Amino acid sequence: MNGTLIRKAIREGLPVFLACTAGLISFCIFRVWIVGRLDSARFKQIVDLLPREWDRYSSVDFGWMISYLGRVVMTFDEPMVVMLIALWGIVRGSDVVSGELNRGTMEMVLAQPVKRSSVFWSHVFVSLVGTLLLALAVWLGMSIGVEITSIRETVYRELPLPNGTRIPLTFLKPREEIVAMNNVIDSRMFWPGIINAACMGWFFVGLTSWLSAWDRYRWRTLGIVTGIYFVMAMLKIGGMAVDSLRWLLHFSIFSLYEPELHIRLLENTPEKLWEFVRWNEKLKIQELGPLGCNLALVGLTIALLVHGNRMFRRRDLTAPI
Amino acid sequence: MNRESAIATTNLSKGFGDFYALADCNLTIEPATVMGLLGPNGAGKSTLIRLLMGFLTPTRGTASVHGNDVIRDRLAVHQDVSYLPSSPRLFRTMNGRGVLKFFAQLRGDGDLQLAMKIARRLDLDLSRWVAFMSTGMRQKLAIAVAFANRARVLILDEPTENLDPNIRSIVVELVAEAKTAGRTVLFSSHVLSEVEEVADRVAILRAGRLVHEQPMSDLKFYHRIVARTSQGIAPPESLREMIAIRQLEENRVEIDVEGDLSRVLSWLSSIELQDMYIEATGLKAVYDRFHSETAEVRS
Repeated sequence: MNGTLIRKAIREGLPVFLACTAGLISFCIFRVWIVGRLDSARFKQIVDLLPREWDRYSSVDFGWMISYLGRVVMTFDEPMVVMLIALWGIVRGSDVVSGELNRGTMEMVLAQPVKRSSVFWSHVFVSLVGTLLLALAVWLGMSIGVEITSIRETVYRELPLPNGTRIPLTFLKPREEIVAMNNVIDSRMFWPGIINAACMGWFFVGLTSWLSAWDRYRWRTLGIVTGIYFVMAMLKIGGMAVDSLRWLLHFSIFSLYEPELHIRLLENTPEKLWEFVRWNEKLKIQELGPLGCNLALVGLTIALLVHGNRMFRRRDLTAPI
Repeated sequence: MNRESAIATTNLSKGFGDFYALADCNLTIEPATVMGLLGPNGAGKSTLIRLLMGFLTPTRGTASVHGNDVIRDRLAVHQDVSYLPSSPRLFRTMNGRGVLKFFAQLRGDGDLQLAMKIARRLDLDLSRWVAFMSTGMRQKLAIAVAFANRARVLILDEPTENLDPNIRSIVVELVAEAKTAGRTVLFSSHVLSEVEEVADRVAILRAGRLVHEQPMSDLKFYHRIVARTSQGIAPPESLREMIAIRQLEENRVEIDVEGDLSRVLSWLSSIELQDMYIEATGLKAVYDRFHSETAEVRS
C-alpha cells in the first residue's frame, strides 16, 4: 500500500462516505425513535394479526420481535441500512480499477514507479475501512436512538409473594410509565449485528473490486453488481417463501446476513455465537452459524480481492476512450 | 538485450485477435538522444509506447529500458521513465497544485518546486481545479508532471497536442534541455517541424510496422528536383539506389535524391529538363515516401 494513494482514495471517497454516514446515523436514530413510539403490548396486537406464514420470512421468532430489543435490532434488516452499506462497497469498489480506467486517470498513476498491487490494495483498504466505519455508524445511530428515546410502558400492579416472586394483577387497571429506552436495551448487545453488517459490506467491496479489476467501464461494473445484488435478494426471499426452493438460499449472499439472529443468540445463548455450523429449527436445515457466516463472508471477500489483484497485475490496459 | 541502449525492442509485437497493432518492431534508442516517432493515426505509435510502459503485454518479442524488461521489471522501468500520455486525464477533484504535489509524492524522485517552475514557464494557473481546466491547460499540467523528476528516459506521446504555438515552442525547448541534461527522449508527434527541430533520429511507423529509421543529420542529403520533361526518364544503374522518381501531371516530374547530390548532377545535365529547381526536402519528404497517397516509383 502507498500513503499517497491512500490519501487520494480517502479524498475521492469522502463525499460518498459522509453522505452514507449521515444517512445511516440519522435513519437509525429515527428508526429507534419510531420503535419507542409504539408500546410493545400494542405492537404485539399488530403482530398477532399477521398470518403465521409470515414467520418464515424472519430468522427469529415473532415473539422476540415484539420486544423492544427485537424491534430495534430489526433496523439492521431495513433496506435503507443494507443498501447504504452495500452502496458504499459497490461505489468505491467499482472505482478501484474500472473507475480509474474509465476516467483515464489510471494511466498517469501506473506510469509512476508504483506497483499495480499498491494501487489496488490502497484503494481497497480505504473501501474496507470505510465499510467498517459505516457499520459503526449504524451502531452509533442506534445507540444514540436508544439513549434519547423514552418509551411508554404498561405496568400492572404486582402482588409480592413471600418467596420473592411477584404476580402481576392484570385484572386491575394498569398504569403507564415513561422510562428511558436504555433501561430495557443495552446498546452493547448490537455488536454481533455490526460485525455481520461490516462483513456483508466487505463482501460487496470484494465483489465489486474483483469485477472492476476485470472491466474497463465503471458503469458496466456498477450495473453487473447491482444486478447481482437484486438477484441474490430475490433468491433469499424465494428460498424462504417456498419449501421446495429452499436450496436457493445457498446461492444468496444474504443468507449469510442474519444480524438479528446473531443478537438474539447473544441475548439467549451466547455460546452459540461462536458456532461455525448450527441447526436452524425454523427451516429444519443445517446452516452456518454466526461465526461461519462471518468467516464465509470474509473468506469470499479475501478470495475475490486476491484474484482481482492478480487479474489487475496481469491485464492489458488499453488506451482511455 | 543491449545494456548500452536506453530503449531496445526486439521483434516487439502486439496482436488483438488476428489484427496486429504492432508487428516485429526492432528499435534501439541510444542514451541522451531524442528519437522522433512518426506515423499517422493507427500506425502503432501509441501501441509501441504502451508496450514500453508495460501497460500492454507483448504478443511476442521483448522490450527493455536501460536493460530492464518492461514486463518483468516493470517497477524498475517506471523508475527510469517519465511518461506523458496522449490527451492526459488528471484528477478532477484536485487543483493544479494538488496534482503536482500528488505526483511529486508518488515518485521518489519527484520535485514539486521544479514542477511549479515548469508550470509557471507554461503560464499555467495552478489554483484552478482540474475539472474547470481547458484541454490545453490539462496538457500543460501533465507536461509539468512529466518533466518534474529525474527519470533518465522521457516518453512523450504527442506532447504538443492542444497547445498554442508559443507553448509548443516551450515544450520543444524543454525536450532540448532534457537532452542536454543527458536524458533520452522518445517523442511521438504529428508535427514534423517539431520533430525536425529537436530529434536526433526519426522512426516512421506504418500499419503497425517500423518502416524507416534514420538519423536527422542525414536529412541534409535529401533533395528534391522538380522539373518538366516530355520524355520518360530512368537513372543509370549506378544511381538507382539513391533516386526515387515520381511522375506528376502535365509532364512534371519529382526526383527525390538520397545522398551526395553532386553524383546526380552530371546525369541530370544529360537529360532534357525544363523549369528545373532543386530544394532541400527535410523530414516531410521522408515521411511522404511512406505515407503519401501518391504512388511511389522507386527505381
